[in-house]
Amino acid sequence: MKNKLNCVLLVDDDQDCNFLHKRTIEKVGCTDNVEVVLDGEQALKYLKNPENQRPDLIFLDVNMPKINGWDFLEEYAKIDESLRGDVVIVMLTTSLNPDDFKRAKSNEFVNGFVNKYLEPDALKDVLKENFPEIYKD
Amino acid sequence: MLKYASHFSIIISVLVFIGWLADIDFLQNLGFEEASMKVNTAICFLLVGVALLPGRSSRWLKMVAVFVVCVLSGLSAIERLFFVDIGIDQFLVWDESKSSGLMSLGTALSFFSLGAVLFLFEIPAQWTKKLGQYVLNGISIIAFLAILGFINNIPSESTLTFISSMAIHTAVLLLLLSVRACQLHPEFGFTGLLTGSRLGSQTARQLFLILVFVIVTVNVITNEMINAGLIGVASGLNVFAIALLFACLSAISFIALQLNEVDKIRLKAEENLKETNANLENEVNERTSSLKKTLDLLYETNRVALVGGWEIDLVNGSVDWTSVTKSIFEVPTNYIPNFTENMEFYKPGKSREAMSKAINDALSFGLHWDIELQIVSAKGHVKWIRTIGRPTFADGKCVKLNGTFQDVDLRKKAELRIEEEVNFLQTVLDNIPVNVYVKDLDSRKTLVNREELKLTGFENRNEVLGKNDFELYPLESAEISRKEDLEVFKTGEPIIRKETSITMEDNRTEYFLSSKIPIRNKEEEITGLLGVSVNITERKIAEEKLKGLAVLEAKSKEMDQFAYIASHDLREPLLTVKNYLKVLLEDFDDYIGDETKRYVSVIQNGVNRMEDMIQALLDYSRLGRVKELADISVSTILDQVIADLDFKISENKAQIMLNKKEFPVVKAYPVELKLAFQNLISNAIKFAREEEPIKIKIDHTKVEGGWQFSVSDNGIGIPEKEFKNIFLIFRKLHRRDEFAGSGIGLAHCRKIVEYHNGQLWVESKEGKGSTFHFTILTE
Repeated sequence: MKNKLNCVLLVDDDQDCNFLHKRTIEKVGCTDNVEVVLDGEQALKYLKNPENQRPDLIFLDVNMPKINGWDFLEEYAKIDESLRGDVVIVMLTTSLNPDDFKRAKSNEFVNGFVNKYLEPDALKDVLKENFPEIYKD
Repeated sequence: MLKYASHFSIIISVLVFIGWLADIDFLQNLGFEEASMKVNTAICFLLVGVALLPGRSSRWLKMVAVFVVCVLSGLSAIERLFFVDIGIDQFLVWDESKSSGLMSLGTALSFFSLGAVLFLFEIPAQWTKKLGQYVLNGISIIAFLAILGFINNIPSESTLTFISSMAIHTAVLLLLLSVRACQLHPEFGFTGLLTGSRLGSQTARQLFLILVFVIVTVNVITNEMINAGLIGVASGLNVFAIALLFACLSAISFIALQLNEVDKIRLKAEENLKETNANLENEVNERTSSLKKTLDLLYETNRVALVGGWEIDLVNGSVDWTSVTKSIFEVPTNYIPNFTENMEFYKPGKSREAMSKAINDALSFGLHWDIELQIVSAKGHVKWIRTIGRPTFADGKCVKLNGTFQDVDLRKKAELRIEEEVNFLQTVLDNIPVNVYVKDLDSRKTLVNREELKLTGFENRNEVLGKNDFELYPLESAEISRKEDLEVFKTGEPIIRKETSITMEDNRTEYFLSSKIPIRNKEEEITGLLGVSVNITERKIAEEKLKGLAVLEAKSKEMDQFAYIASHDLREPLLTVKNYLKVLLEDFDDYIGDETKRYVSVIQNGVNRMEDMIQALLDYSRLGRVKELADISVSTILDQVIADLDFKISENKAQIMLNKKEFPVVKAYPVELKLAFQNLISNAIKFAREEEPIKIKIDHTKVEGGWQFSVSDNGIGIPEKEFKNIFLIFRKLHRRDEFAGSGIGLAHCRKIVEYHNGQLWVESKEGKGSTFHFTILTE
């Protein structure tokens, strides 16, 4: 893999989950920088700070305390475009609920939908679809 | 006595004949030498006696007898008067020893006159009777004179010539016969006077008898005195006259006294009569005036009540109308009614037909009538009248019809209007989808509309009216209703839109929103109640359904929630376990032994199974949420299922047979129907007997409302007691190591089938196989 993503942001309250996801991403090797925040609020805080590196890809959990995935998307729509950067948001969820799937699809910022846990194949599919220059078969 | 005068005459004449034939002097002259009854005289007496026999029989014979008498006596009279000898005296008997056989002139004339009178009487004119009477009186006087001569012993030469030779029995018989003849027409002449019944006749009769008696007596006495030489003839006449005067005065006095007495009585009677008359008159006056009052009252009543009378005299065809009748028909007071013309007054059509029929029935069967019909008056007004009539019969024939007319136009029109209004109201009430009724204080129905009638189950309104709830509805409902009625009657407060129910005998319950409103009369007293009930049974059922649906909805939401929790919250830790196990195996492969690896593998299997179950549960809970029925080819679905199961089928060497080439197109939810077939076929493959090659048959039949499908296998079968349990969720009959599965498949299938209004059931024999049937009833 020649090119790598600048940064991948994981938004999930489940530390165990984050550990596994970070491990999977590192194993696939699509980036050297995986940032982890534990909820929507922290995620927004991270993004609003211009000093932080812009993530190319955000894995967002739906179910989180305080600000959940959906709430986050609402707030995300409000923040400055420059702060958003060119990011692809992928919803991460254990829910197989097609309603959630529909809802996620209808959101302009959501470019993908992946069931938990993020398997290497699923990650590769996301990269293939959104970052073809980084990952090719 | 006079009745037998003719018989007497016949007997005497016969005796005289015998006297002549046997030459018995006594029989000829009764001892009077001077005069004997001649044979001709006897013949005449015989004939006159026959002619005067009572009765009208043998009239011609009698007339012949009279004729002979006239001839005999006439000829004798001619001989006597003109001294010619016709020989009539020798006609039968030769009376040579005695003086001539010729009857005396008096006798002859008397007989002739008698005969003539008897002829005269045959002429039917009054004067003949009167004249005859006087002639007969003359005969009587002649005979009387002759008799007087004999009594006074006057020698025949000194008496009147024409009666000189009249025998005593001749004279007596002549007197009797003349008087008898008088009685043929006693109402005429002197006889009439004597035999009358009036006071004058009575007096005359008395005077006549007294005077005859007195005169004869005085005459005889005077005569005897002259004969004895006690007085001379001249003074004898004086004595006679004086005696006669006395006698007459006495007789007159007697009669006068009697008359006076009678007059007194008469006067008294007259007075009584006057008094009685006066009383009677009073009474009559009183009655007349009271009658007049009654009549006035009647007239006034009739006038006010517009009742007029009428009468048809069928004998002379006249018709009589009272003035009120005339005013009802609006004809002038001088109008003369006429039967045929009057029929024209009845309005053509029903009214005239009814009147004709009533009259016919009266004439033919003697029926009375009392009907209301319409007339068109002389002025062209159409009005309702009531006519009452009855026939009067005499000798089986109707002779009279009479009765009354009453102008009932106002009342009738009001009645008709009320009837119309009632009909209108009834029509309105009958055509609103609400139960309406009226009850009296005893809760008896006095009005019901069609809806209410329908509720009672009766066909005819009259079967319901007058009945109370106890007679119409089951006891329990009736009791409640009666209680409510009494409450309304007691408090006067209406019950408004109260929810009630009636459980009918067929256990069907009808729900109502019932209002009961008291009905008051003018005096504000409650006389009953008006009931208005809206049948809300359908609404109620719909509500119940909705309630059920709401519960279902809620449950469904809960289920969704549950499914969400199951799929997300339960799944997450599970996946954590699963993934960390994977990480464990990957990262510590070198450190863990084989035994540990086996344990981890077991844990992984459990986690996988649990994941499957959660997935199945989620599918199950989400069933029937989308959805529109679509026309689906079952053949296509089966092809897809078989393709999807291809791996399983070939792996298990299963044989799937579609019993028919073409499967129908049904209305169904595509995904679900496919899932149902998939589950059933999977089960058939799964629950196979090891020793037996798997054979699965799929079939279909048309049923009412849709289709029935079946999936049969030759697998292990299901014990009968489990037939129901297998369709319960998470129900498994086998250990996991025997047959894997979530235990949700058949429950899911049943739910799918139920969404298609169908049913799922099983037929099975343990060790032989099972057949699952299900129906899709969506047509």
